[in-house]
Parts: sequence; C-alpha cells; structure tokens
Amino acid sequence: MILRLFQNISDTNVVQKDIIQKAEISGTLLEDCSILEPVIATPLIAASDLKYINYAEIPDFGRYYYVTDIICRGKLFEVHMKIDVLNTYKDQIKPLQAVIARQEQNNNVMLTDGLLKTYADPHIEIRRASGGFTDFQYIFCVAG
Amino acid sequence: MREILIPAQVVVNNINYEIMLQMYNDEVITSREGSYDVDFSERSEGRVLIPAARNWIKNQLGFDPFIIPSKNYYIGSDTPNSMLAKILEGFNTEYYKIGETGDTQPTRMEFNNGDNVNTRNEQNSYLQNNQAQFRSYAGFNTINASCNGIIELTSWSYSCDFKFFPTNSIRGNGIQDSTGTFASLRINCDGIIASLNPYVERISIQVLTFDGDLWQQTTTYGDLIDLTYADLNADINGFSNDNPYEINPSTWGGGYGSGIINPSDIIDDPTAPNIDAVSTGLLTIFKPTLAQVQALGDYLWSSAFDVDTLKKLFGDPMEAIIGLSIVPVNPPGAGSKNVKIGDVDTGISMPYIGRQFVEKDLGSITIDPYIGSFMDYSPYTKIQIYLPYIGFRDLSPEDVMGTTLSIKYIIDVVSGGCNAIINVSGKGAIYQFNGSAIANIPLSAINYSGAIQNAVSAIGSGLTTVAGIATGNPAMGALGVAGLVSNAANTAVNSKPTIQHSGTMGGAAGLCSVQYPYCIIERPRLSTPARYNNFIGNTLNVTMTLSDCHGLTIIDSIHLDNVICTDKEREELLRLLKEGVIL
Repeated sequence: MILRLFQNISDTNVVQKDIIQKAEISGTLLEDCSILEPVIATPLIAASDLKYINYAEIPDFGRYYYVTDIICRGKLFEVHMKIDVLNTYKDQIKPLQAVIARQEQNNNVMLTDGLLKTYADPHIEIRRASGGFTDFQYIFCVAG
Repeated sequence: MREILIPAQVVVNNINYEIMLQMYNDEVITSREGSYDVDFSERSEGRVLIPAARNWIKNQLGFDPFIIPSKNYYIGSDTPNSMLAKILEGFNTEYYKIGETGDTQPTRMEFNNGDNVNTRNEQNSYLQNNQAQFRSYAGFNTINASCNGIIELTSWSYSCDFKFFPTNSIRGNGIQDSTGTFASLRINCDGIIASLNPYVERISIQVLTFDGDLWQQTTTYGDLIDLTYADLNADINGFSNDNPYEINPSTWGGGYGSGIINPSDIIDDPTAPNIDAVSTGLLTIFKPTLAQVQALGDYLWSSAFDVDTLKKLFGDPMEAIIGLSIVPVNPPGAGSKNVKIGDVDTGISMPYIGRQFVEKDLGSITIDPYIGSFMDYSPYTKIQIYLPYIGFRDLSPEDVMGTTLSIKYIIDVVSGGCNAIINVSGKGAIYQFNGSAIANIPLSAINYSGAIQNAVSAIGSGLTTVAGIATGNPAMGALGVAGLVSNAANTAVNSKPTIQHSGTMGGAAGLCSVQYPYCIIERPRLSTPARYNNFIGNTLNVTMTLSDCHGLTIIDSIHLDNVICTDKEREELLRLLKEGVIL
C-alpha cells in the first residue's frame, strides 16, 4: 500500500491544507484498524524526514490523514493516522450551498453580533438644536 | 415639503461610485417638490457660466446636487482637453479623460456599473458630436452630456437624474428597504459654446417623488417594467437573492400576510388651532412691556380706579384679571388698545394679540450613525432629548437614527400649555410631548397687600383651569378655554380654583432652565481586537456557495448531499463546518 507523507503547515480547520510532500513509501496496513484511523507499518521512513512528517495520504483509500503518532517498533515505524475530512472531501463540499453564520470577508452589519464587546464607559455625544427660546414676553390676560 | 434624504455609500463591483456617497456629512437636506425653470437667454444675463448656473440650481433646491463627486470613471486621457471635458468638469464630474494623441475620435461613450471605459480621440483636435453617459447603481443615477466640440456658438446639453434613498434604507452594499416615497431630481441644462467656454442658457429642474416599491425602468425595447428588489440591487456587490434576510425573501414562511409592506404615511406637523378664546371677544390678551405692567399696577392701587363700578359685575375687582405671566415667545401683536378691568378703562394702552396659540420653531438636530451597524440601535445606543419646559424624554434609536429631528412648539400663551412636536425626517411628526411653558407672576410682587389674595386668586383661576387642560389634549385645552369664556362673562371670571403651586413651579423652573433642545446620545465604545474578522468572523446569515467564501467561515446549516463518505465522516464534517473552517 502506497503512503504519501507530507509536512502540513496549515491549521486543522483549514479545508485545503498547505502540504509539502516528504516521501512516498509503501507499507502494510495493520490488522483491526479503521480506514478512518489507520495504522501502517513501514521500514522506509528516513530519519531526517521524521521531524517534518505530520500529514499523510493513502491513495488507495482516497483520503488524507493527520499523522497522530509514529511509533518505532524494532526496524519498523508504525504510522498512526486520523482522517482529515476537510481536505479529503474539499472538492465535494466546495460546490455546496450553506447558510453561513459568520464569515471573514462578507458581513451583514445590521445583524446583531453577540460576540462584539463594548467598554463599560460609552461615548456620550450631545447635539444641540439649532434653535431655542430667546424672546420672552409678559402676557396680561383680562376678562372682556 | 418633501425631504430629499442623503444616500449612503454604495460599492458596485468593488468600485466606490461616490455619486451615491454621503453628502453634507449625512445631514438631511430638504428641497421643495416641484419644477424650476430659468431661461437666461430671456433675462438680462443672457447666458451664464456653469458655476453661476450651479449657484442658481443651489438657490432653487436649497443644496448643490453637483457637490456629489462622480468619480472612478473616465474618458480617454488624464487631461481634460475637450469641451465635453469642460462641461463635465463644471458639473463636478471628476477623473474623466479625453483621448490620446493619434487616436480615433469617439462619438459616444457609455458607462455602466463596473465599467472602466477608455475611449480615444485625436488630441489637439476638437471633439465633435460627443456624448458621455454615466449610469450607476442600477440606473438610480445617470448623467448624460453631449456637445459638438469647441465650435463657437454651437449648442451643448447636460442632463442628470438622481434618486435619493435615506441612509437607513441601505444595508451594507444594497438597498434593503426601499419602502416609502423617496425623492428624485432631474436637471436639464442647455447652453452654447462661447469664447471657448461652455455657457448655460436654460435650466430645467424637476424635483419629484417616487414610490420606492415601484421603481420602474424603460427597457431597451421601450416597455415600462416594474423592477424587483433583485433588479434594484443587480450588480451590487454582496447582494444575493439567496439571503433570507434580504428584502423580498423567497418565502414568507407560510404566514397569511400579503408579504407587502405598504409605503408609510408621513405624519404631518400639527399647526396652531384656528379656534381659540381670543376670537370669542370675551377675553383680551395683552403683551405689555415691563413699564406698562408697572403703570397698570400703579393705576390699580390709585384712587383713580373706580372699584364701585367694577363691583357691579364682580365681587372683587381683581377677579376681572385672569392672569399675568411670562411666556418664552413673543406673539405677534394685533394692535394696541386701553386695558379695561371689567368696565373700567384704565387709560393704559397695551399691545394685544389676536391669537391664543403661537408656533415656535426650535430648529433641528441630526442624529448620525456612529458605527453604521446594529450597534447604532438599541439596546447598544440610547438617545434622550431635552425639551425646554418639558424635560428629558427617550427617543427610540430605531426611529431617529440617520435622521434629522425638527422641533416645533405650539404654545397656548394663556395657559402656558405647550406641545413639542418632533418631526423625524422621512417619518413625520411621530413624537409629541407636552408641558407647561409659562411662568406666572403673582401680582403680590407689586406689594400691594390689600390686593394680593384677589389677584392671586384671579391668576390661579385662569391658570389652574388651563393647567388642567395642558396636561391633557392640547386641542381640548383650546376648547376648554374657549368654552370657559363663551358660556358667559361671569362663568369666566367667577371660577376660583385654588392656586396649584406645583403647576406654577413647573413653569418657573422651565424659565430658569436651558432654553434650547438638545440630545444626549449614548453610543457604544467598541473593543474590537485586530483581525476580529479573521479570528472570529463577521455575522452574515446568508446562503452562499462555499467556493465563494474565502477565509474563516462558520456554517449555520448545510446539507452534505453528494458527499460520498461514511456516516462518521459526515458527522465529523458537519461538526467541523459548524465550528468554523478556513476556506
């Protein structure tokens, strides 16, 4: 089974990961493991790549994985992985429509945003009218 | 009078078409609806340069519509070197270009939303039969100019249409609420070229109103069609029909309403009632000077005052005096005549007034949005208005944000009852508060002790009757006083209620207080960390295709159709999308 090993510099919530391939090796899928969290044993990882490898692809599974651990067992390296659904299914989810609650580049400024914080001391603005009472007059009122 | 309200900034295809930009710092300007025409060729001026023509337009409208710079489009090169350029420049159309050396001369230039048009002509030659047309914001604003080049005594023309929407009808980049009646402006100018300059000969201005719900447009085939909100917002960056909170949503959610919000009616300002106590002839209201008041006092306590004659009508001489007070307005006089106390002519002449109710304009206050978002409304923003003789009252930011408040008082100079009318631009007189705008002067101040009780009783009689009215409906107040006098003279003068000190205190306190209205606006002070949108995201609540989203995106709801994955993966996808992903 082919295993492509990458260095991933993207955060886990990035859909399309920024990855640099470090190696393409063959290995053996250990028994009793899920395709969502597979473990592959391989003797072929160069020690110099170990410090970079944190991401993988198994082309046969059509999935990308986070490398969660690399365990050395004798001359074999066990590569423990966990599915990255975002990168794996990016081409299928991008054409989908969704109701977007929050977005970085688009906004609807008239919607109340409960996450915005305000200081305790507000701005106090005083606006004076352009007119007023300036002319006062005695009024004397009699019957008749 | 119809109000022309100031539009807000609009971005079309990421270009600021500043023809829709804020003018006059978002103040509301007003102009009378109607037509204005001038033919300078029939007047002594004969013809005027464009700046003078703009001044004439400004004087007619009350504002200069060409103060709105029309930017971000151009014709040809950077240097205005044609008569068309001069005309456009005169009307504050900026960033135009005309031609490049050696290029072909254009005959027509048309600009549409988002266009960035370069046209060419032979520099150093005269552009002839030129036309420039600019349209922006779904046809709300158009400018057309044409001329025959720099040819002496040839004609040119310039026309423009502006549609004005109030700031608060625009949300983000589109018109979200065009409900109501709005103003439009059409200006046509004709002129001739003389001494290598464009001169204006005729101007025609039409200030009209149009129904924001039924903005119509003539198609290229000549048909008149009603435009939908989607049409109105066509090509407006960020506008999407899929947005459930845009106007004209795709569904009403099964409600039984029509889904149509009828245009609001403008509440007209009330005016001073035509019916009053003065017109009955049973009451006379004088507006004496201080010297005249003192002379009257001297007379009342002199031997010349024939009390016996007066007592035939009144039990006490001072019962004939209804009141002496100070009001914060100077009612227009209707003439002068001698003061008669009962049937006794004092021989002291005073100006009298012909109307009991007086209107007083107290100017206006403009309430500008501060942030330009939901934070400008309650509960984040609070607005109070101080009204002289009334006190502080709360105003709803939803009612008044982005508007101008025009404040007018109607004052009953007999009772002091006053009604403050706050006209909110675009809505009308939707706020009215009443109070007491009178400071009573007990005649005891003159220190004639023998008359104190009667005088004060007389004053109290008049004041208390109307003070009670003042706390209720002002119109009823008018009827109350009129009725008081119209029944019979003795009905009027025999009422002797007790002096209500609290009422008079209110008036005197008002006299000692600030005499102009002012607003106290409490605005939120935001604590917004840098790159807030990057880390937390802006509220959106719009249906969008994910491929159109860039950066942090938090999904409210999505159907993962056609995503071929396991159930666990689908759950994981949903969780991550709702927690927020970076696209």
